[in-house]
Amino acid sequence: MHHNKAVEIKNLHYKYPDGTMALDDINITIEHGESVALLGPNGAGKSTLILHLNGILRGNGEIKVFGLPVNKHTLKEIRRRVGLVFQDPDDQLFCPTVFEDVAFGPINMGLTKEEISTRVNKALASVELEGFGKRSAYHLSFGQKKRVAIATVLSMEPDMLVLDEPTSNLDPRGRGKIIKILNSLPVTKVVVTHNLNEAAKLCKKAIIMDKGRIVADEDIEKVLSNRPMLEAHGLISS
Amino acid sequence: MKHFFIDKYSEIKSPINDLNARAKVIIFFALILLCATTPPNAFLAFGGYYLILSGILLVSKVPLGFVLKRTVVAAPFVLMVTLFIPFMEGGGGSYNLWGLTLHRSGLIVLFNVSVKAFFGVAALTLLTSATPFNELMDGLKQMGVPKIFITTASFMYRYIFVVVNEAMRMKRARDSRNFEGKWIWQTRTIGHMIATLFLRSYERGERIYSAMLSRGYDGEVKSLGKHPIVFKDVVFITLIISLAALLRFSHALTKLISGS
Amino acid sequence: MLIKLKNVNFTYMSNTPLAQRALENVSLSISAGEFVGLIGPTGSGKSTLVQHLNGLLEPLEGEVLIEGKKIGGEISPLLVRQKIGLVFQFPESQLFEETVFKDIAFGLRNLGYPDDEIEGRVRKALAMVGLDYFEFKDRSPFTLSGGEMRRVAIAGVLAMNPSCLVLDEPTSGLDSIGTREIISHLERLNREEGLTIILISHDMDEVAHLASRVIVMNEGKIEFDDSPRRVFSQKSDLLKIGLDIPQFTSLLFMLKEGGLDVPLALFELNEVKNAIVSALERRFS
Repeated sequence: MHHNKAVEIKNLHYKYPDGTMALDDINITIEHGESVALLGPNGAGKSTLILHLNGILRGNGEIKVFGLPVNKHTLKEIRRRVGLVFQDPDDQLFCPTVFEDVAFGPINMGLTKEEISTRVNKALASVELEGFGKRSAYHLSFGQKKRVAIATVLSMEPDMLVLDEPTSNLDPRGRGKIIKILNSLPVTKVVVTHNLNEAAKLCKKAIIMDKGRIVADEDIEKVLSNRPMLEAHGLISS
Repeated sequence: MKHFFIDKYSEIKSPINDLNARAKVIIFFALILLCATTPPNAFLAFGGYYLILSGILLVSKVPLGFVLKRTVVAAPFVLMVTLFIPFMEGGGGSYNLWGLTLHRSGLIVLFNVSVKAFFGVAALTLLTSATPFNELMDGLKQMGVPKIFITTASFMYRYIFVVVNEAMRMKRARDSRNFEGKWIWQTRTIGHMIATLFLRSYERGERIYSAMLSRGYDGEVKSLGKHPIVFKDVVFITLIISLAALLRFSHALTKLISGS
Repeated sequence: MLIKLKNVNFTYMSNTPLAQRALENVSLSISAGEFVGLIGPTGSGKSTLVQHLNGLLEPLEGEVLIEGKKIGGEISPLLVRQKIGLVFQFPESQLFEETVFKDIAFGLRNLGYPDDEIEGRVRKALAMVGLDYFEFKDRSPFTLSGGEMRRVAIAGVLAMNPSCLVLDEPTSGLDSIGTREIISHLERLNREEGLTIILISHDMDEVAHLASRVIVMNEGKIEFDDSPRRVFSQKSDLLKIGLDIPQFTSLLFMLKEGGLDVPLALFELNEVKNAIVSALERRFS
């Protein structure tokens, strides 16, 4: 691998259709294999930023993912290499069965039938849901749906996982399971979360956003021990 | 929150469930077609069709009550159209019933329409009950039904529960705040709720689309071309259809044989 | 006794092959002024239980009494819903009126209150959740932040002047500012206004910090019903049913296992700090 940067973003700006500045001069670099927590209050621009990582949104500025500039020609490759997991699994599971949902990406990649079913089984196994292929999403518990949603991108064998609140709204056992699964996956990870404990369990680095800007980008221990900064950006309360 | 829709019993293991979806579509549509084209006075043939359907029902393990309940739903529509026909003038003699005149030809029409309509609805109910929805969609797609219909139906099947759940949560919250729905201004509330539901479904639609794009969607839902028709399916198709065809054409056949 | 449940049994879709037992012989009493934390893994029956408290669900067996009167028989579900205010999960998604004022007034209009009284009550309800009346009354709920929307939803229930407020995961999905705002208002409503509060949460720290009593549900039954200190000392039992213990308690357990003589069930930073310091002093003196 001659390229060891997973993400390079330079001077990224993004305005909502109504004119509000959602991303204001974003500059970040994420190394290959790193796990990064993306922290910040509601409305800080975290979700907007992650939608730029696979070209769903396109702002002004320079974005390179695994060395590839995000544009029309690289979109397909980038979307294969970046697996985006949405907060509400009901948005991600749109097929009649779990199998079809997990197979959706690989089918679009044009893989052979054998490869597809190998990948689906492997992805379901890594989220501890072997044998769930025939079920339909509405028969699953919320925690199971969250795990299937992760499997739907794992089956594309991405090099980077981007997860929006992967543990929100789960009971402690469900949260523990997701954390264990994510920590067992050896890929670059970007995790959006409100939960500092979970950020610490999942990530080595933390990026803090507030009002569309990056306000901190360093080791998570440093970030978590900087109480005044956490307070200033509403991550803990005084 | 729990609810059940089309394929409540489609997970039951049975020989019928195991059949290829295309085979089932072919069988049921052939049955309906044969039944629909049968002359009105071939009472024996109708008896035979219902017997075949009962046989399939028995093997499929779908509860009779469930199919009956679904079929009865069609009753008002059928009766609305046909109930008055026997009172209209027609040939073939008439009967007197508490002062009302019933015409024989009209009664035959009533019988003909009802027996065929109920057969059709019962057959379709059984088909959808004994086939998982996704297999049915795959089968229809392989038989050449346009993709747009398949995609629309699949999304509807997937999201109707999500929307129903959202509506039920909203209703529950509203009822907790003493909504009785008896004042005129409260009907506006219902309007707002529908609008909110619509807005939220629209937003969800956008998020789903992003999720699809993220996984390489390029405007066409592809699926694995699986489920080939196997020997067992062919046997079943041949058996059922020839049995029904025999019933359908027995009259003509006897004529043919006795005539020669 | 504000709320009393006697041997309540409930089954979803009873008399079908898909019947699902949700509550099994649940009996409990809650007095006015209590702050109860209700915890349990997903599917343990918490939501089913709270829907019995305001008559949205009726028990198959057993009875639910509000202020000594049986729901359905001696007290109408409508009156019960006014006394027991339920705030569901993600209540902001249940806001459906055009303005904040109209949404909060919704329940009051259903009860037929006169306009001037409605205005007074809306004003008071907004104040109770810390939102300025003039700033917010004419805004559309869709323009508010997540935390504000949720507080408006809670105000809509508070406007009915309930004796008891039941909240299903009121802080889930909120950032820490939003969470803090909700929590501090709940604390104040309980302490200063004497409002009875039942809080469903998956966050053990939140429950330990707020509640004076913790009820643990598992598979439709009440597993524990005791003070937070006693309940959260049952580490192995709680972990077994898929729950957790508060972070501080976890730390104290670890220190104890490492041989330091500390009490286990402390939930406040200062208490914990003092306990560790004095244990260390004892050890090294």
